[in-house]
Amino acid sequence: MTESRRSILNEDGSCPEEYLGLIPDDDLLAIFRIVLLNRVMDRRLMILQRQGRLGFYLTSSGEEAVTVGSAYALREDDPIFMTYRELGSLLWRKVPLDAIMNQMIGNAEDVNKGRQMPVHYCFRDYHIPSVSSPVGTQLPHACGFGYAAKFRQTENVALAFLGEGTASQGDFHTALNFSGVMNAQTIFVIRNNGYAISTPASLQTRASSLAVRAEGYGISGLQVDGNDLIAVVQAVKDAAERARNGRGPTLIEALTYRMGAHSSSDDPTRYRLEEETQEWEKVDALARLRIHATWRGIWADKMEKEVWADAEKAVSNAIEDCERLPPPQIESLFDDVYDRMPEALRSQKEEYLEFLQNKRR
Amino acid sequence: MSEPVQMNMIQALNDALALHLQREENAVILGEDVGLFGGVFRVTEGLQQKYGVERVFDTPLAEAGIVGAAIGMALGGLQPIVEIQFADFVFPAFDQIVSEAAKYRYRSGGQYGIKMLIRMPYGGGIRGGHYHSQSPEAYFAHTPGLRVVIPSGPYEAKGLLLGALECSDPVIFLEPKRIYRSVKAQVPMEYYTIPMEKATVVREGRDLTLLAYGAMIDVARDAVLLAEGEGYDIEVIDLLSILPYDLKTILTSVEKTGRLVVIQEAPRTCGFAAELLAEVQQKAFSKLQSPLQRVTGFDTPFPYALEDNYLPSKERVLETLRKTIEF
Amino acid sequence: MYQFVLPDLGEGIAEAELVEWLVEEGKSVQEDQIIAKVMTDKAVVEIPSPKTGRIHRLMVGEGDITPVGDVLIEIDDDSDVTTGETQEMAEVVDAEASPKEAAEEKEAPPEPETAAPPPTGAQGEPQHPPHMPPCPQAHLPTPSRGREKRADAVPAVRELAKQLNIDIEQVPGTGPDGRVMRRDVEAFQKAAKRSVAPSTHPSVSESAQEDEPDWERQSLRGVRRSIAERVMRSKTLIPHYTYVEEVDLTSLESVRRNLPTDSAPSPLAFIARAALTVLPDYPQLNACVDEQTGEIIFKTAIHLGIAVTTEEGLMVPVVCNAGKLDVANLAIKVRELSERARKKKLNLSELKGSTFTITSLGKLGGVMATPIINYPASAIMGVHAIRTLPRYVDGSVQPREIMNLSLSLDHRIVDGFEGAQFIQKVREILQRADFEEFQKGN
Repeated sequence: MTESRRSILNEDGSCPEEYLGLIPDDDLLAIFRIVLLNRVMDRRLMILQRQGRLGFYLTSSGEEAVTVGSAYALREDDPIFMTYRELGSLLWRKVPLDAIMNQMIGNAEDVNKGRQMPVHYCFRDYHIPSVSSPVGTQLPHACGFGYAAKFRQTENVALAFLGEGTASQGDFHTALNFSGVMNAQTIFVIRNNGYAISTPASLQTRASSLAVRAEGYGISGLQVDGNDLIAVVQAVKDAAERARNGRGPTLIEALTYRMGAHSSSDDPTRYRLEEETQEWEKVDALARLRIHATWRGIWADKMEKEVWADAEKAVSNAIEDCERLPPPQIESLFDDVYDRMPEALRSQKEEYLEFLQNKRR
Repeated sequence: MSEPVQMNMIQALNDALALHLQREENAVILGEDVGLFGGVFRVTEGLQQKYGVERVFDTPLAEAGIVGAAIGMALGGLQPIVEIQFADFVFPAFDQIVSEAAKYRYRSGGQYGIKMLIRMPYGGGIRGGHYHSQSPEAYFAHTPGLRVVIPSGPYEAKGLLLGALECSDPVIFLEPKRIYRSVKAQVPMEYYTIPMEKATVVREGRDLTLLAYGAMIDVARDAVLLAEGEGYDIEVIDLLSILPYDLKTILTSVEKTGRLVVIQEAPRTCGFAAELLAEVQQKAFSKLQSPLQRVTGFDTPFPYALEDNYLPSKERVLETLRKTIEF
Repeated sequence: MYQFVLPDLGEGIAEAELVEWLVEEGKSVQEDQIIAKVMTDKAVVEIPSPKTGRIHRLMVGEGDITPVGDVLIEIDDDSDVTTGETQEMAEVVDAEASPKEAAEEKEAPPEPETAAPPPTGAQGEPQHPPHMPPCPQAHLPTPSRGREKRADAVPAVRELAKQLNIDIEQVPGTGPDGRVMRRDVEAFQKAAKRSVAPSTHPSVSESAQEDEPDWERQSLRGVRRSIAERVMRSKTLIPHYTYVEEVDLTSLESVRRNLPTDSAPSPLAFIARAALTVLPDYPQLNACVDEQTGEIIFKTAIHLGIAVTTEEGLMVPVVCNAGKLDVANLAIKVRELSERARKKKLNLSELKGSTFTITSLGKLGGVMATPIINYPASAIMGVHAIRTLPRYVDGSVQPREIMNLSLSLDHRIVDGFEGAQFIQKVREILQRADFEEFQKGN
């Protein structure tokens, strides 16, 4: 069941007729806008970070076909267990820009109460469980959720993203193994973007692909062209249907490229060549999408410029709104450790607040 | 209300699990060999037969996967009850417990909570050597967001487990395997809970406060009987809850006696007793009559042949009681 | 600006009472000019100025207790702020110097009437006979805690002391390694309660006439205060018992009267000499208990304390190595010490280190007393008036010179029998009245 690098879109942007209905024109345009918004956010927030107005940021440019496409292929209430590089999924789910910005800045309006670093999202209302820094821990979670969905006889599918580096973690192994044994309603999507910080994918495994591992766990697996929106959507849709119908989990390896640095703390010039990035830019998600949309006849430069401008404005507004907000209240430091605050923590809180009171005097 | 029944801890735990699965239809039990086999210590015996393979099932051999999947199940609306076969094998799951389960509520700003219980046999006394005898409570006590409870007998085991299963936070439930079968007690048949965060004074006394938990409660009792023979009147407290723990009860006691000894199986340095001594020293300082003491395992890996030398004995405890009172 | 701190006045003094200022703020002062009188345990000591300049500020009030090392006075000597102590030891003076005298003294640095002697004696002082070793005051072990070492006590006991308003540093410890135990604090408190005015004293609220109180308060100061502390400590720690015996001094008195009047030793000297003869056979009467270590300290030398009544209260100057003196020299020494005591011209070193004390309870009368042992020691012998009383001698009633001795002892280390034996032996010597016996030292 493992295929290698399935593509649907052609290089010229054309698409076989039977797949045209997969993403109607309106949806394609909507996806396009989201991709542009993603780009704008990446550019603006990276600047913000360099200006010291944001502590940390990492971009997801180039991989939007995977992130937006996967979200598109799912239902609204299918949980997406993310890493930190799937802003596109958030944007497709219509998580408000303000909410995203508030999380980045960690202000008083952040639904996560400023607890985590930027890009460590959690938006329960949008079925996005919490992101953590240790990579791969979310994979068994997705497996467990997929089991719970089965148990409770809902049709929900849990989708988990991971990078190809994370595919080396033990949690990847146990998650896939368990989900196979449990026949969980789960999809695993590897964004194989070529690099885990500075480590090229070739150093993560000796195997010919990552998708081939699926066979080892007795589950479905396939490799797709990660910059081919149609291919991605088709793969995820198939996987979702498979899961919902009790035919088990799927491993999808999406081949793409990380256009930006690993994060604001990274300098890719130290381990890869500019030329490589420039080559990939020609065929990255946005480029391929543009070509296809143009081929469909629903896209024009002027329109793109307008969309860019709208996106810029939206992002500017969000930044402005969010920077105006204060940080979370100091008292909130002590909340949410448990369902109910234990006595010892209460007295620590009291002591600290009293200390602050005295300091003010 | 029916008559209480003589049970050992295994039976008490089994009873609690059965009761809970009865009440809570989304509760599931998972772990290695817990299904058909009923668990290597038989704690889940009969439960798969009664509640079905979807609710009580065996997992592949991977603690990280068990706990990780359990977290996912909790997110998905189930209440997973995980068995880790021996506490010594919990460490592959440490990341999932400490990085994920413990922090999930806090990091999501309270959007999610992980309602999950992980039970594991812990402690020495069964000739299990390094890897079937450890007491890891200090590692977990050091992690905000977790709850840690340790029963000392069958009655406490059932009540604590049922109480812990009502809790919406991740709970580490450590079972003193040494007294799994050897101790029997009267256990009510019906549903009852023992609150977490509360310690129990099991014996009142004037001269000294002796604090213990798990299998060490029996050692405490034995030592106290010997101490009685020497004219000492010792107050014994069963901690029951390690995190959070009942400082108030301890302080009330130490303010009366002015002396504290804690028994802990685990190695001495940075063991949980250190936390108790530090907190009591700070909060009851001017009442203290003698230095606070702890009787602990040694700072060595848990030995096999010399196990009895390692574990705190009633004689070692008695000597410390004596020294403390005669200070 | 020179800040002058209260110097260490000798022998571990930790604090002193500022009895009187002899200078005023704003007035000039010369180096070595006496600027104040301070009172230590029982000696009044004069403090000479370390600098010439102008008195800037008196930092301590009259009657205040000041710790050693605290600033007493600021003298403007056109220098940067420094602190210092006098090089010399302070002197002992007549505490009744009038302000007029003090004013005269300001004009020129006064000649010290008596210099503070080093233990081996100095100019102007009666010297010890050359063959006698210096009084090793400094080497005498005392069970009382040196103030350099902080009290050892568990937190609960400290809390108890705090609640009872007891300075735990003052409480002698009887626990392991001298630890202060609960019982020590409680005993200290009981003793304090006993020595405080009894509850029959009217308090303000009980006074019938609220307009005019019929009582007056006076704080325990100076020598009075230090005596109060010493006797309280002695009575708290030492279980006293007193043995009283009558001595027939008729023969001794007739011997005494036959001596040339100006050199005849007083009866007290004879009694002291007799006691000194017997004392070496009863080492437990020349000893003390170290409560800290639970040991008896047997003192090898005998330093005789002679209690003297002065205007300010009881003082006990010490005759070092008294056992070596014959009755004549003993008499000289005792007389001289008594005179200087009354004139308050004793040095601090002469007030410390007695191992056995005799207290002459005076010509006022009395037949017995329960004298309080001069802590740290184990015995004190009280000598009462000599009276002519009828006694049965050789078959008939005759007038005899009768005097009582009251011997208080530390029952921890002296049993009744031994105490009695000691007195009996002293009595024998006195009643035997063999003058030659009194003419030699031990």
